[in-house]
Amino acid sequence: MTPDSRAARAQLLGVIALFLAVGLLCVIAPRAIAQAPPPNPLCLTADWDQSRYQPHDASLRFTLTRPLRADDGRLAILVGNADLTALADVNGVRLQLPLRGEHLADGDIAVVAYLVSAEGDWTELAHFTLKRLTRAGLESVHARPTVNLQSDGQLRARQSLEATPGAQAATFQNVSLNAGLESALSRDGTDIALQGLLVGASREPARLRAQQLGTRAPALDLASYNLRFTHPGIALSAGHVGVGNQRHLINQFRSRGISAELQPMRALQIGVGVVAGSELVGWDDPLGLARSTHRVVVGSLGLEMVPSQPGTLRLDLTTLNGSLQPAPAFNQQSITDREASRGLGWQLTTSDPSQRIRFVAGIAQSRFDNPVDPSLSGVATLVPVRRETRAAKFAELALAVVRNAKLGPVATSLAIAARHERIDPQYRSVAVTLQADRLQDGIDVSGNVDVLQFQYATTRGRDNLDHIASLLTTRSRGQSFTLSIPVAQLVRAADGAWWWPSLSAGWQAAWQVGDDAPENGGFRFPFQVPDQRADNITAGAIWQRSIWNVVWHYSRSVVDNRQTDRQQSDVFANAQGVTIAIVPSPRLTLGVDLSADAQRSMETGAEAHNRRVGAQMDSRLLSSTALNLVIASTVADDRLTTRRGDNLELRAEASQGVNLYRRPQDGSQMRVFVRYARADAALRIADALQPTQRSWTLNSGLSLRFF
Amino acid sequence: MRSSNRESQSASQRCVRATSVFVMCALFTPHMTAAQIRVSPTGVNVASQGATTAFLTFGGIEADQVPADAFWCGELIDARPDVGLRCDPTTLFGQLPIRFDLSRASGTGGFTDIMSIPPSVARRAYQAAAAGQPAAFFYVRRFTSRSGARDVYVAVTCRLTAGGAGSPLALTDVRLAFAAETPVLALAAGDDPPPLGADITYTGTGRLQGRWEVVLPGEDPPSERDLLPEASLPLEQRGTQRRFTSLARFDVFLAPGGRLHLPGPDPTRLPRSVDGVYLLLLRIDATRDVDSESDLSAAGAGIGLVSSGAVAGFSLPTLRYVVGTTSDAPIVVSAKRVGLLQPADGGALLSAHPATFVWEVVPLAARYRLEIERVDGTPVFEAVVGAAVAAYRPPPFLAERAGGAGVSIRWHVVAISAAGREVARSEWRRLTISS
Repeated sequence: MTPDSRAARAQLLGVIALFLAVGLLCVIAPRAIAQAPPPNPLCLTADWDQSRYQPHDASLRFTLTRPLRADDGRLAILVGNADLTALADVNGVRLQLPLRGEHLADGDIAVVAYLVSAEGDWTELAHFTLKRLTRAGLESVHARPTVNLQSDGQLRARQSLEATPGAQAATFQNVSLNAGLESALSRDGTDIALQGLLVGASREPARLRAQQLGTRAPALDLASYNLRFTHPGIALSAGHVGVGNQRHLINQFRSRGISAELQPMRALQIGVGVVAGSELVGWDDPLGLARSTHRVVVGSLGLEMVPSQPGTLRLDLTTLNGSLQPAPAFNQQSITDREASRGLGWQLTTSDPSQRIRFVAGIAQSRFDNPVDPSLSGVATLVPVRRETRAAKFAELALAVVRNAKLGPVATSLAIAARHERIDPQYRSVAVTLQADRLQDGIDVSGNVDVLQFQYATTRGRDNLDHIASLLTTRSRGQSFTLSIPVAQLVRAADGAWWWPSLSAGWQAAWQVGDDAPENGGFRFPFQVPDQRADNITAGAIWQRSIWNVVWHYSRSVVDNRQTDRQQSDVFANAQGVTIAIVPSPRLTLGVDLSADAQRSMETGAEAHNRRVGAQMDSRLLSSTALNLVIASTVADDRLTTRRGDNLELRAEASQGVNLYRRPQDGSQMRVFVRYARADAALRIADALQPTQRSWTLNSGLSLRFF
Repeated sequence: MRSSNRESQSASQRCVRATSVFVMCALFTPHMTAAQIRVSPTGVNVASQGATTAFLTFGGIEADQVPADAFWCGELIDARPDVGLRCDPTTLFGQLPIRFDLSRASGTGGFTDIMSIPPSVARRAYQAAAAGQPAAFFYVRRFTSRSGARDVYVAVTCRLTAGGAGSPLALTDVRLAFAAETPVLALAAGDDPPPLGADITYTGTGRLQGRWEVVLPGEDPPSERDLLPEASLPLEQRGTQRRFTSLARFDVFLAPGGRLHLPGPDPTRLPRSVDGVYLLLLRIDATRDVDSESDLSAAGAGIGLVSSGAVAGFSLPTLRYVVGTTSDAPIVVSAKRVGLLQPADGGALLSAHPATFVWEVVPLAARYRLEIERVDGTPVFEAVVGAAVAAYRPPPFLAERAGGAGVSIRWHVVAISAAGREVARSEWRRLTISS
């Protein structure tokens, strides 16, 4: 082969190779283009440690996996409830968001990034957590002091002495001061919270403890306070606390005192509390521990037998030692005694892991005594009360028979519970109110079919558990059934179908029958031994829209006395009412109440009626001007119980707010008001309605808020 | 027909349990002794395990006679040289404490007594019954004479029972509370109060009627008498207690179970328009109850019956709340206003495609803050918007965050300077979210 022919051959092979390469490229290239991997998806990462607290005025930094392109849409960043995208500075793949000066909460805040398309669709891109320190460098701190000064009083008054014999001075002026503090701070798992309220008044009847101390009530008094310290495994409280969790000894007993809860290990909880015998206010006894004769000491121990599954098997022990003076709590009035008791109780709770079956049982034993009470004995010698040690016990078994099962197209649930309780005669604990000498068994059935909910209960009980010969034994039975039907949801009505009401109905029946009158029981006639059935039926309907709602309620009760010589002493009662509320605008609220009730005695045929109509208007005519108007008229005709026949009440109040500083949300504000109230009353003497007695008052006041 | 009549007619029988004094009883029964004061009812069923309160009317009291002490006891003895039967001093269970003594003159020669039996008295009586004594005891009221005449003793029989049906309808423990941890509630402006109610322990059965009232700042607080249940007053004084602003009425049936939680008025209806201390009152009307009736003619204190269902031996407690601020009114802090353009006030906001919020540009503003909240002040959403934009298109999930279709919201815009100061703000506009 000559060199020329070799060259020609090489050129030919080259051309063929070139054609083959081009042909191959033409065949493969489109597939290769079609199967090319997509460009890097856009991702965003946070450059701060999400598990650590960040400075209050931190700048949040993010990194994008690549720069934003036009077809990505725009980036939006929400911190909490605020869209702060406008503050963001984007530089290539770096993004910085300064938080300085922004109104954001402290503590844990969600930070969410979105991609927003040109069509306005928001797609979540990333979700982060920001732990934000407070300005003081704490994980959270909150302080809300309030100081309010008011001067109010009665400018003029006309009191009808017969209609209002309790009337005080016609004119008076009172200066009052209210100061409060709510604060909380936390760091490294330790939380401290303090809340307090002081209430002061210059006028004696307006003072906090005027009802308890009369003229000795201090002008500025401590209404409430609570100081709480918590750290993992320990919680300490002082002030108004609730202690105890044993239904027959002490159960969330609220009073002033100190309490501690410890959890040295996961399965063990220990609680100790020392509180006053009743809820106190005022300065006199700030810790509630000043009087040993009016103090309750409680200790508790809770043990989870299966620590890995809390609630599977739990044992609670409670012990109590308490003594009471005959002094009810601040917001309470009762027939009281001097009392002292010591008690010990345990409670066992168990359930299967799905909580389908639950069993609770408990026993409490209490030794009770009534110490000598000079107000009851005076100078006389009373028969001493014998100290008694008695017990109370209960057991409850609850079974979720059907739990959200499908009955056709609708969800259905059914639960049954059986309960037993026995409280010995004379059983009493100073920290709980119970009805002693009672044995009661009951069954509860509750459930729902779709949105229809129902509940049925039946009970049976008796007293005289000591079988005392001279004491009457009374047997009781009760049944009740309640039904709730939100009709709109039941018929799958559209949102605007306001005419479908939400309905409720109930029936309750109770029987109490005494056994034969015992000898030496003091019963002289058969009618003195109870034999009664009482029935009560209730019904209600609610129609609701965004700017108005209507509520209707009805009840009917029958007390059927069945004793010899008393079969006719039955009483029928009906009551019904309608309430209409309308909110046509944020500046105006209107309300109307209509109610009527009637009682009829079967024995005498006598009927008694009460009818009431009332209207109310709350209006903000201007930005800080408020006007309130209330008018109500009541007509009563029940001569066995009251002399009040006609009654008319009218109250009109106007108030004006005045901003004293440029930024009143952080500064002070003043408000003045004037109020006119009128009451017309006509008393009934025998069958005659007497002339109307009219009284009225004119009040005004000024309030100043410093914080 | 009436228990009081029947028992009054058989007063001698009431005394048979003390056989040794039976003859004395016969000598001093009311209908036989002109000087004897009568009472109605002469006997009541009381709770054996707790307190009971009953309304009693004494009659036939002469001008020079005044009520003195009252004792409970297990046995009666002849009071001679005084009149009637008095307590055997060896069986005293207690005397009526001053704090429960609500007795007062009434009618013609009448006297109304509210007998509140402390639990310790019932306990003594129960223990006596357990020891073999009768399960009944006596309440004996003594009347003295200013003119030096003999004292008169009048007894009422108290029969130990379960305290349910057949016992007077009476309130023995009433506690008012908000669903809060403190006894006095502090409320800031815009805060809705928590629910409130009354926990009531009672004897008997029947209807409980009444109303919730509120004493407003500047008004004269009620007196002890004003706070008594109406049934704790003699008939001629009923209806004369001062009334205050009425919030809601209630009328509920009390089954013979002994305990009731009475829900309070709708918390949103509590007045909060001015700062100060508000006092909530539970006012209980007297209701008809055959076991709480007092026969005035049988007692010689008038004519007819007095029914005293829902009596109590104490003034009812009150509940305070303190309103501390008034900033719930719309606030305008600057003379400069931000003019809002759209959406229109009172319009609708489609939940799926919410409209763009647009406002007028404020010259000094470096940025704007759009704030959206529910009409009750609950924050829903806010957005920081650049100075040149003056508009914001909200995310589609705004409606969901606000609570869904039908919820009313309001929005406004705050203009902020480069230094971070507020330079102007708009008024609130209201919208309703529609589906």
